[in-house]
Amino acid sequence: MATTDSGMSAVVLSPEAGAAPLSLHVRCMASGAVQLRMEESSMAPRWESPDIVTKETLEPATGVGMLSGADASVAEHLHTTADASVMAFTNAAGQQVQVVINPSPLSIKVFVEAQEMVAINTL
Amino acid sequence: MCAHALLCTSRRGLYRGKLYLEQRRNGGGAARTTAEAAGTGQAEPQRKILDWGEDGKPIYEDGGAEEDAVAAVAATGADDAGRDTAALGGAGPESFGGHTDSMPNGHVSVGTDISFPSASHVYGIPEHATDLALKNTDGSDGGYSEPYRLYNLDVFEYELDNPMALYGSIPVMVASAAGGATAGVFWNNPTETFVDVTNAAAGKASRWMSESGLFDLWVLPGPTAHSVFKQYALITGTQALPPKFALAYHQCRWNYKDEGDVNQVDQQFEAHDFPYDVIWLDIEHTDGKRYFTWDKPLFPDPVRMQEQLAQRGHKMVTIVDPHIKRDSNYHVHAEAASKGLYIKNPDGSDFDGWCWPGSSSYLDFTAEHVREWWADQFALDKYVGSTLNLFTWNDMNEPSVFNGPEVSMQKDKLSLSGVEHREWHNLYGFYQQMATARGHVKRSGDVARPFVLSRAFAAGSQRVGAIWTGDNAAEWSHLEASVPMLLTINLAGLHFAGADVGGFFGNPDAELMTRWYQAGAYQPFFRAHAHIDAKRREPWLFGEETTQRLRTAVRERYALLPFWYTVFYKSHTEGQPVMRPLWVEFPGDASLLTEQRSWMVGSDLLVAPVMKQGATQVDVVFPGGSSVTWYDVRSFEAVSGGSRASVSAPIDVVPVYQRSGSIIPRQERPRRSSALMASDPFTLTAAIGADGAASGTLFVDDDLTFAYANGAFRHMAFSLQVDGAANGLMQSKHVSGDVAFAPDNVVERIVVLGFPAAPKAVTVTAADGGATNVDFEYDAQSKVLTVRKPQLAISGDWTLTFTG
Repeated sequence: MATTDSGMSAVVLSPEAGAAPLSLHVRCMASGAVQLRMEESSMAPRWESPDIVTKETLEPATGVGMLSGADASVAEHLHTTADASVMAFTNAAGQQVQVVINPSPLSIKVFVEAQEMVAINTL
Repeated sequence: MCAHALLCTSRRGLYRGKLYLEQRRNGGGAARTTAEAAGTGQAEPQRKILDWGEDGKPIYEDGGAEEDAVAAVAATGADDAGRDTAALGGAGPESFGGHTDSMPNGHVSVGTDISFPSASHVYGIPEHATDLALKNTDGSDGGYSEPYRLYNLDVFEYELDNPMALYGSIPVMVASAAGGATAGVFWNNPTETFVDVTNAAAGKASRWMSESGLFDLWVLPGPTAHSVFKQYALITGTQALPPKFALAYHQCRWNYKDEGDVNQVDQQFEAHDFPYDVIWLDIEHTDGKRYFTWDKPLFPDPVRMQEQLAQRGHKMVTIVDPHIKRDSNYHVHAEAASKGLYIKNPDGSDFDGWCWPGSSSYLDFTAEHVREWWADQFALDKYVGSTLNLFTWNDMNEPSVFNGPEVSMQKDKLSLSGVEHREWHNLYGFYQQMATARGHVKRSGDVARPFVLSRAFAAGSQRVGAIWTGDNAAEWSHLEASVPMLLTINLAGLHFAGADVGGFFGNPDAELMTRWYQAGAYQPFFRAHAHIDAKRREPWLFGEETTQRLRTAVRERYALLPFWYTVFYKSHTEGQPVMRPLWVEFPGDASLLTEQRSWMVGSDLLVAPVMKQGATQVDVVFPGGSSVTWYDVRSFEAVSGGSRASVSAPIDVVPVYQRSGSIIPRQERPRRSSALMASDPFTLTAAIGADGAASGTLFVDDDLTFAYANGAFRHMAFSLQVDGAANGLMQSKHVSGDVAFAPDNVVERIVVLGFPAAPKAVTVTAADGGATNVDFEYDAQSKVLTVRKPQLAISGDWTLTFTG
């Protein structure tokens, strides 16, 4: 599984005024799926203890589903500074997936084989 | 009507174009008010409320006109939506519909904008009674002027063509382009969520705004629909493999009133030679709506009743709702209260809401130990009167609270770990269904697969059972709406879904019943159901002609059970939908992107039922271009793909077509239940493709247990290749599963559609190498070859040779 990491510098996300910085956790899965998860690094989580959603909504890797081989994380990065970054990996079907993060204004784009599939448009 | 219209509007205006996280604030000293009338059962202090209806309206002691609790507080200074405008934009309590949300953390919403640059249409985010291709919410292109709302609610007599919230919520959106490229997103957030859909400068845009929770977004970049489904399934799981009986026909009404009634209905099915697998009991079977109990005068010997049903392979389902009657003499309540298993008020006391039994408490299914305790209630010695033949229906689990805001729970109620209800509202039904399914498994010693039907659902619900679309109506418009609703739910990973056949409210006539059975027979979950005030409508009550038509529709379902079971196996193992929009199977055909009057079962059956009153013709889209031929499953008449045709569909007929290139297994002997078909022979129908080939698969196991997970199954692959001179081979190969599992069913007939010419001989070669000529018949006009009694093992490797 080819995984490239162009710098992995980080992004500081600026939430509403007065709030604490957030960090963006990017997880690339072998299937091609990409998780973008904000973590509130300097404040008490709102309801993550216990984390009701991720504990049960998501299928554990050893769950009852019979999909051959649970999805595996092929790249993970935590973004905490204000630089742009690109994550690229090859999914299980052999296609190139790119996650492009621009910090200001924040936008995240996901490409498959150079075709832009999803854009998260932010500040 | 968006109940929180002001909230939607203000936030949409303020935060346009932003990734948005509103931070937790101090509540500013806002006391957790106990002003909600719900907790006290009083909407108006001067009038005593005796009861609450499912529509959320109080029923007064003086018999006066019902008054909606929302109206009762409209004069209190709240806005038009019933919301305390002073609280918007800041911390502190909010009022809504006579209820106060203390909001101790202030507003903690989260949102973002997501666009799909190449897409022309977006789909998903069930549950809404709306089109398959989601309409815009900015009023453009004939769309709505409000966002889609995701908030599980018990909606009384829901409206069609409306973005209002319904019983379930799956925050998954799929976007497709005219060229076929498909992507999706999963917004992993179970709090109240609004989703806007608009046109973008390029493609489609969406705005997601959730009341609380974290920003946890899964991008499913595809680039095909099938890869999106797999990406999502790998995150949240695949559809649980149902026991086969659950795929058969279910007979339900509110209520079969006693054991005699159940026995009479069962005997009538027998007398009318009408197949069914499961008979259902609604809330009236209980002792005063105390679940896990029986109304003893009406059901004196439920074990005997279930055993009698089981003699002909029939099962029973009883309803078990999440609200627990607050009666200290009721063992379930007494134990739950003493163990501290109920959802709490902010002051730490048990939450007390109103539902069918009256004053009720609600178990905190978000806690694992509560789920285990609930699962234990299904043990045969705990649920007195139950047997392993009894399965479960979890209704009212949004949760429905008759005297709560919008007939649900106040958001500031607390889980046992102290987390507010607002944070996990949309997960409540999922967790109950999970616990119930666990109970079924535990009671069988981890042997049997569960069957649990739920009304509420969430992302992940597919792992624990089936759902239905709630309280629809016996109207043609609801029959029509069932198709895009079920297709949408399937696109969101939850494949075992159905709509009440016949419609819940009201009284269908014979024509509507017939057309609904014909459509329902080709939808994943197939259950007839009726409201307590509806006339009896068992299938023999509409006259002999209609009985015959309904029987035909149900028999078609039973004949195709091996196919359905195999499609569900693929759903379980590959995450692919059972009921599919045409565009999923034929990407790149832009004309299919809004098609919602027909659908595919798996990849090989096209279904286009009549859903208009009085209609005897259906306009059918035959996709796939000229390389695809569609075969009418009854007449075997061939229709070219890439065409549209007005097809004759008299009242006896539901248009269904087999795709060329496929092989479909059937069991065609009429039986009274699926269990009685276990040893029946199979028919394989192969439709030759343009390349002279066809293929298909069959999954067989014991139909009931988890033994397949340890290899006790057979997954067979069939293939056919024929040349223009009628020379060819058809083969059966065992592709997976334990060779020790070898059912002795045989193939009694092979039908080949599109066979080019009469062969001189058809020869069977078994695994041991022995070759035998078999009888066949060829119709040169229809090009149908029928091979009779090859007597091949359905679970064995064999070869059929065609000599031209």
